[in-house]
Amino acid sequence: MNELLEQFLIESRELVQQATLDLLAIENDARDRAKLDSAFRSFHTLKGGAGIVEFPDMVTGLHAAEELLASARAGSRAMNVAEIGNCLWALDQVTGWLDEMEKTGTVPIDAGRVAEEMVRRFQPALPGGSDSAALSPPDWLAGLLAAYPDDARQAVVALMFQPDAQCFFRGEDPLALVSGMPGLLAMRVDEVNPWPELDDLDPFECNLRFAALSSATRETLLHHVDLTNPSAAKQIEIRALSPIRLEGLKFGPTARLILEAQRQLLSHEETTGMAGRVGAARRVVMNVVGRYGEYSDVAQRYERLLAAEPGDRQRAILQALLTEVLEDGQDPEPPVDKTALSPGDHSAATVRSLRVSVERIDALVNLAGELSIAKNALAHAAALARGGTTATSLAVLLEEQQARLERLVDQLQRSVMNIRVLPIRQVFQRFQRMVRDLATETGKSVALVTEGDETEADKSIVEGLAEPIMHVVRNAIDHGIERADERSQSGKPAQATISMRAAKAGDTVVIEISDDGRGVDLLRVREVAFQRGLISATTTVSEDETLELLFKPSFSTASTVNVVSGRGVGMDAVRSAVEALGGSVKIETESGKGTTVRFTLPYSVLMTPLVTVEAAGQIFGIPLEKVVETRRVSAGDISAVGEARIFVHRGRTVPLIDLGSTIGEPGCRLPMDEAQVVVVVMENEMCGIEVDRVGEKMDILMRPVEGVLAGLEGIAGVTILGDGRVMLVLDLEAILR
Amino acid sequence: MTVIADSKNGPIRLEGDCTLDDSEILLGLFTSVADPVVDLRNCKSVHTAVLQILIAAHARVIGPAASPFLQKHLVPVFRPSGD
Repeated sequence: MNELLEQFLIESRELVQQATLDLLAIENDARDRAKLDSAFRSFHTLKGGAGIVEFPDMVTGLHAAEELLASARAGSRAMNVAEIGNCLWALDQVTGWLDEMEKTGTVPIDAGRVAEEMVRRFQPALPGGSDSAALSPPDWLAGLLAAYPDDARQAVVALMFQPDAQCFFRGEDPLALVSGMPGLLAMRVDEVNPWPELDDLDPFECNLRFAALSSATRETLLHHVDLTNPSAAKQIEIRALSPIRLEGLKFGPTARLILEAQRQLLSHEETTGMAGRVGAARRVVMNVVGRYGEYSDVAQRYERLLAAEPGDRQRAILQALLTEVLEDGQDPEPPVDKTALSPGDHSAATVRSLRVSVERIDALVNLAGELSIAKNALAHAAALARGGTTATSLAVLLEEQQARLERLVDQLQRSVMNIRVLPIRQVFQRFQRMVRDLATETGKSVALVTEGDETEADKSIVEGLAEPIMHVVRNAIDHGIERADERSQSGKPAQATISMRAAKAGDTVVIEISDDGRGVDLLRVREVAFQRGLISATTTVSEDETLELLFKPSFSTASTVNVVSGRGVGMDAVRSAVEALGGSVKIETESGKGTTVRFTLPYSVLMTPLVTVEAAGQIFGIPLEKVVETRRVSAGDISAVGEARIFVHRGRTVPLIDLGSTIGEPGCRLPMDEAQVVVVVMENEMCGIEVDRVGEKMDILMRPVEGVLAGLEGIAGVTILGDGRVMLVLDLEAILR
Repeated sequence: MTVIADSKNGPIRLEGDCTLDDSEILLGLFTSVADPVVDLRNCKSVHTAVLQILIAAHARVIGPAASPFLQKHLVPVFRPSGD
C-alpha cells in the first residue's frame, strides 16, 4: 500500500472516532456548539482526505452529510435523532470502506451504491427538500382505522396519498390511481388546505389527499402505483397493518439481520413448502419481537393470533410487518451494520497504529545517541587491546563500558515498554456508541459515564479489555438495568447509568464497570446453581461464594439468560479473558442498587513469544527463543539407536523425541511416512521434537503452574487461549533430561 | 357532454366519464347555484378535479351511482339530495 493511502487510513479512522464521539455528545445535548463544529470539521476533513486519495464516491456521500451538519451549524435548526443516526450510519459505511482499502490497498470501486444511499438519506433533511411531516398528518392512520373499524380488521396496509398540487397539469388523475388499487377496502378523501370561496377556487390545482385501507400487500400496491403513475410513488406513504401492532419498537442490528432473513424466506416465489416457511418465519419473528421489553408478554399471543389466520394472509401480514419494521424509514436506527455488533471487531482497526508522544520518542533518540557513544568506546578498547595494553587495564576499561551498556539497555527496555503504554480512554470511548445502540435495541435509556480515562496500561491490556468489558456492559443493559417504568416505580431516575472507572493502584490497574440496575438476585443464583448440581441443598453459601458461582462455565448456559434477573451470561468468558491478561475479576452487588464488576490487571506485562504445537490431541506451547526451525523428516531418514531415535539435521546427528508419548500416552502415534519435527536448541545441543502439527506463533502471558498441574514434569507454565482453552507451555530442559 | 344542466335550479347530471375539463364547467355551474344537487346515476367515473369541486361546493348527490366504486366510496361522502 502506498504511503499516502496508509496515512489516509490512519487519519480517517481517527476522524471517524472523533466524529462518532461528537455526534453522541450532540445527541445528548443538541445545543453543544463546540461538538457540532468539531463533528463538521471531522466530516469535512474526511471528505478532503477522500479527495486526495481520489475516492469520488466517498466525497459525494460525505458531502451530503457535511451539508446537513453545515445547515445545523448555521443555526437554522437542531439536529434530530434520525439525522444523528444517519450521520453515524454514514461513519459506519466509511469504516467499511476503510477496512476494505486496508485489505486491498486500493479505493473500493463499487462504493457508488452506498454513496447514493448516503446522498438519499441526507437529502430530505436539507432545506428545500420535501417536508414529510406536512405530507401526512401524524394522526391520519388512527383516524382512518377509527372511521372504518370493520375494514381495518381485514386490511393489510393503510396508505396516505397526497398528490402534489400541480399533478393535473401532468395529466395525472389521483382518484383513478386509488380506485384501481388492488384490494381497496375503504377510502377517505380530505382537503389539504381549507377550501376557498368557490369563486376563488382553481379547479386545476389539486387540493385533495386520499387515505385508504387495502387488503393487498405493500409490494402489490407499489407495483400497481409503479405501473399506473410512477411519479406518484414518492407521494404515497404505506403503513403495514396487522393484528400485530409494534408501534415505536426499534430493532437493533442483530435483530434486523434475523428479520431480513425471514423476509427473504417469505419472498420466495416457489410456492411448494410455503406453509412451512410461513410457520417458521412466524415463530422466528415472534421470538425476536419477544426479546424486546414490553413485547415479551404479547409476542406469544401475537403468534397464536397469526397462526389462526389462513396461510396466505399470514404470509401477507408477516411480509407487511417485516417491510414496515425494516424499511419504514421511521427508524433512526441505521440498517444492519455488522461493525456495531461488537466493539471487539473495532479493536484491530482502532489500535492498529500507535500514536506516541514526542517526549517518549525524544527519550529514545537520546538513548540511541548514548548507545552510539558506548559503541565508540568499545572501538577504543579494541584499539587499545591491539596496541598491546595490559590485560588488567583492558579488563577495567571493558567492565566500565559493560556497566554503562547495561544501564543504557535497561533504560532502552523501559522506554520501549513505555511506548506500549496507552490511555484506557482508547477502549472506554468505543463504548459510548455501543451503549447507545444496545440501549436503543432494548428500549431502555442508559447513559455512560467514564472516569479515569487517562489512566494508562500496557497496549496489550488496553486492547484485551474491549471484549470482557463488552460482555459486562451487555449483561448490565440486558439484565441488570430495569425498564424505565420499573425504575420510576422504585424511585430511580428513568435513565440508567453505567459507569466505567479506571485507576492505577500500585503495579495494577483497576477497571470498574458499575450499573445502577436491580442487582444480582442471589437467591435465584443459588436456586439455579442447585438445579445444575453446582451446590447441594444443604450447602450454606455466602454472598461471595454465590457470586463466584456466576463464573462457573456450567452456570452460564443459554437457559439461564432469562431466568437470572441480573447476570450470569458469559461471565466465565469474562473471567478467562481477564485472566489471559494476567488479571482477576470480582463482582459486587447490592439488591436494588446495582452491580459492580471489577477487573484488577497488571500495569505492564511481559509477553512470551511461543509457537504452538499439537501432540496427543493436546495443544502445547514451545518458547520461540528455543526453536531453530520446523521441518518434515521422512520416516526412512529416522534411525533407531537402542530405544532412542535419531535423524541427521544440517550434517549433525540429532536425537528425536516424540512429544506425544513423552507427555501423553506412549505409542499413541500411528506410523507415518513423514514426521513433523520442531528442531530446538538447548545449551548448544540440538534436539528434534516430533509433533502432530505445528500451529501458529503467538505472544502470551505465561502463568505459573498451580493446583493439580503443579507437580507435572516438563511444564514451565500455563496460559489461557482466546477461546478459553488452557495451553501448557513446555519446559524443554525438563523434557530433554 | 358529460355535465348536463337541464334547468337552472334542477339537478346537474354527470354522465359517463367526467374529465378534467368538466371540472371547470361544473365549477362555473356551481358558482351560480346556492345549494347544488348532482345526479350521479349515470356517472361511471369522475376525475379528481371534478371530485374536488363536488366536495368544495358541498354538493348533494342523487344516487346510486352507475359505478360500484363511486357508489361505495364516494357517494357516502356527500349529503344525499333528500337532506
